[in-house]
Amino acid sequence: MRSNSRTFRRIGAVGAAVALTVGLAACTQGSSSGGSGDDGKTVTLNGERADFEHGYELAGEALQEITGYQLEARNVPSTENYQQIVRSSLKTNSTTDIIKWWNGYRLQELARTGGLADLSDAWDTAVDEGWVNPDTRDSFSYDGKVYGLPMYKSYWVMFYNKTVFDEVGISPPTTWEEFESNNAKLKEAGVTPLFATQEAGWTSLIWFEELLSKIDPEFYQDLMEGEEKYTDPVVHEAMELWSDMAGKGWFTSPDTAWDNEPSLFASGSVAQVPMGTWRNGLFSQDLDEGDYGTYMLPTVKEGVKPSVVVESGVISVADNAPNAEGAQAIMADWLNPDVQKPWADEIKDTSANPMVETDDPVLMSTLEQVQDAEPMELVRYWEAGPPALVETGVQYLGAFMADPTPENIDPTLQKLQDLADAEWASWEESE
Amino acid sequence: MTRILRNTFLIVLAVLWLVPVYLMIVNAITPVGNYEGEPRWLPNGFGLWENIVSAWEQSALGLGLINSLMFATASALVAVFAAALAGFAVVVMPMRRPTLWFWVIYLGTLLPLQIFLAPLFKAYVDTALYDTPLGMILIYSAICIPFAFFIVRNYLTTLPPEVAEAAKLDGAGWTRLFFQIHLPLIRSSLFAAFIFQFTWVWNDLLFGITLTTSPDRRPVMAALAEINGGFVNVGPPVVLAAALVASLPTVVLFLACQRFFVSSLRASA
Amino acid sequence: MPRTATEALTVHGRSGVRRRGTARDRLGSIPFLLPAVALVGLMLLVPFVATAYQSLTDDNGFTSSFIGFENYARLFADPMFGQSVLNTLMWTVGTLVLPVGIGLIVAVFTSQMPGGRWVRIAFVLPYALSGTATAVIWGFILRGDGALNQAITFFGGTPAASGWLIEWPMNTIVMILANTWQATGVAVILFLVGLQAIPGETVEAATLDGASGIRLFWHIIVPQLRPVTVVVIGMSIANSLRVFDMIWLLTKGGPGGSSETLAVTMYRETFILSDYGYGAAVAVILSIIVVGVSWAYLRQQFKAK
Repeated sequence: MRSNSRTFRRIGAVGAAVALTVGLAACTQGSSSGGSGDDGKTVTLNGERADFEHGYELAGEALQEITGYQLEARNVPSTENYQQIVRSSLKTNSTTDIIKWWNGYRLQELARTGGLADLSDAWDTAVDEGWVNPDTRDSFSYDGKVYGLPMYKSYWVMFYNKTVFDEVGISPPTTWEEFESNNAKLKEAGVTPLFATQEAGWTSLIWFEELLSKIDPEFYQDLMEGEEKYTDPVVHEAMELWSDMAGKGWFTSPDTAWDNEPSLFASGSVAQVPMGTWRNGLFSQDLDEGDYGTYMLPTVKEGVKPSVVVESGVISVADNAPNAEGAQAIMADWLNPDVQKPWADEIKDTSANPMVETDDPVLMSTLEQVQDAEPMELVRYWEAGPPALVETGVQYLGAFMADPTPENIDPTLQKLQDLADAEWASWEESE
Repeated sequence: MTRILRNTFLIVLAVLWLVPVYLMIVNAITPVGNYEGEPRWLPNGFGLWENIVSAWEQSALGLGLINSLMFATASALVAVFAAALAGFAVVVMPMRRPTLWFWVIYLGTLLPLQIFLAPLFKAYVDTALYDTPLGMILIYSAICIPFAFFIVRNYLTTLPPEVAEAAKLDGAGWTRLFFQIHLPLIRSSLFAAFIFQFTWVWNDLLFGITLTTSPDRRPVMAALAEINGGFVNVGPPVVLAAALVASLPTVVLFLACQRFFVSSLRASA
Repeated sequence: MPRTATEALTVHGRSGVRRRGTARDRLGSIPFLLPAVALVGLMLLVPFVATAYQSLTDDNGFTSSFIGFENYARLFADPMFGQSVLNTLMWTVGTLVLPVGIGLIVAVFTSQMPGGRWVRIAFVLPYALSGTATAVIWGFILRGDGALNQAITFFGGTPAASGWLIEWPMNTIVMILANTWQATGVAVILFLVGLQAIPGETVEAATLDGASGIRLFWHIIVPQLRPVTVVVIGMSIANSLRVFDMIWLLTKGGPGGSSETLAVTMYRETFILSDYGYGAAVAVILSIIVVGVSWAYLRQQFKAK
């Protein structure tokens, strides 16, 4: 007993000494991250994509050569926390100069608080140089002014495992009937034809937008703008199709972890994955070039206009940016091919700059297919409506995925419509 | 006979209890390349080291471990000490409203933690505490105090007042009383409180993510979160390997301290 | 003749009379209370008050306007709120009964069996693991293609058609079990601390009187464990009402909010929907419930002293 207490006291004393030194050390260490760089030559950037770190470095090197300003990137490893941090700090002095955000309505939501700087000049310069497609201006602007520049331009396509396709003896479909017969054959061969999950929350929108846009892309667009209803027969048709496909067992279990998607795809357990081309970086790590490819999902009926869902993250400048000059300089040359090429190559996605070519064979083939089809470009559901509507909407869609029976279609659509009514009203009110 | 049944039941339960840990180890050992999207019951090759190295490189795990060690030790010590002082005051010293003070402090452990994130973030940014070790230690200490206080206070109530009275008759002041009589007596509860709070701080994710941003200030779980999003190029085996490494210190702490929790009942068994 | 100081002191039991003390004595308690009260007050209570005020506003993170109790009115009219409360109740009952009950049994039994120390490790270990690891592992086990279904198939049964996390109430029940797995460790350790305080003589005397097994357990050990049981139950109440990590990482409160508890709802409203005022209102309600239940329970305990 005695020696125990002595040991304990000794441990306690040592522990206290450690804590004291540590505490003292802690007090003397200030923050390593002020809002701004110290020498006026650094421009800070905040984001939630840890996988962009190298990309930021490479882009930063190119930008430094051109503009003389250095890019310092930070990361918050959780999307929700990142959003909260941006909201809390955007209008204060501790905001970073540049923030990564989403386009469409999400950008609008931020822009109308007055927290973002006007980037119309940088945009116009880029258009003049041919660095960006001027038709895409809308999804980066609010009230006529541009508030963000595209970070990348991802297309939503079907990734397919070539090895599996060869084994089963099928090839990428050009019509919906071929798509269905492919899936039937895959199912017979013991492979899960399509990947789908609601586990990550937002992923429940994928099949909704794909099916709806392949039935009627213009309707999809109008629905997103709040000009059509969820209870419309067109949406009903899409949901019936979804329910039918689920009934045939073509999807993975709705609670499959999204983290498992690359492994399932690479190992051939799942044959096809609808995803944005930004996922290519992950797939290319597990699979060799020849083993996988992409194709555009065919329209459900002949004569329907081809469409493709497009997604672009944005970078924006904070109105309160500590180094506003540096930030604007960076923005002026962000879309420069000299910057975009190393950036896009590193993140393995396609640049928003049409002049930048990609070396990745899968991306090249995707771009070719898109160019050939001349599809209507649609904004992803995630960015296409008021954020509050989308966030709850994907929950309802996820609930449908958990129970994709025909009986569940009307209740789900009604819930979605009620939500849309409420949220559109709320959005208009805040204008 | 019943004793044998009892022990068998316990052992079976313990084995079941260990199954998740077994799965964790097996899947952390499986090399990422051999992982096929479904959990494995047997490892598919030995890739533990490469997984750990991969995690280490991608997430600044080493820095995270050091930071967490600093935060957890300092905060738990501060919290336990402050809790002991306060517990002593509330139980042993004569006060007008001991229950009131108990609730003021205990309230801290009842509130959902997310409440503090946004206000603290704003406050930290305004006071330049954002992304500093001092800031982290402050909030962690504050969060750890209420529960440590609860434990210590309850333990103190099991001690009879004669202890204090005897010492006071000898002319001891409160300070001497505290340091020389009560502190040694409540040793085991202090120890338990320290271990719990150390573990809690070590395993914290939310505050680490919200109140720090640089890799050299970030605690280990926040560093781990960097590779656990859906966007990052590692598979579950790497995440699990990293989680194993990140959990090692707390596991070692728990196991090493087992012998301090010897029950007097053993003598009668 | 008492053998240790502890034994000498436990002979008399507690008298229950508290002296008022002189003013000097009362002043003397200030420095003792100060560190704890200052830290908790400043870092925790002040933000809580700020949040309570925020619940009376319409706040989207950028602008806020005072709207009185509108958030609360909206909350009570929300059907999801009812689901949230129901789940919270389920969690409270589950995490009260299971970890406390299992923890007590494990603590007592393992302290009486040879090699109990090693058996105990199995139960204590999970608490030392990080939330990330725990969520990944239980995700592995519970998903449609997960270990649990694999095991069921292996033993010849038919697994649940979809995963265990898809339907309510199964998803909540299963997550409560997963949480129990981790939370039991704390109860075990605390009960051990309590057991350690039970003087050897009491047990010896009772055994000599012929008490053994269940009688010994119920009539001697459990009452002696009262102070520690208060801690364990009080803590379980608080934790159960605030469970977040496990639920968020496994189902995000879904599908469709079916497994949401108040803590999850609060997080979703605040951080995802950026409706800070509404989220704050949920937080305030949750806090009231936690404090209320804790007060009701602890009050009994204080009185009993």
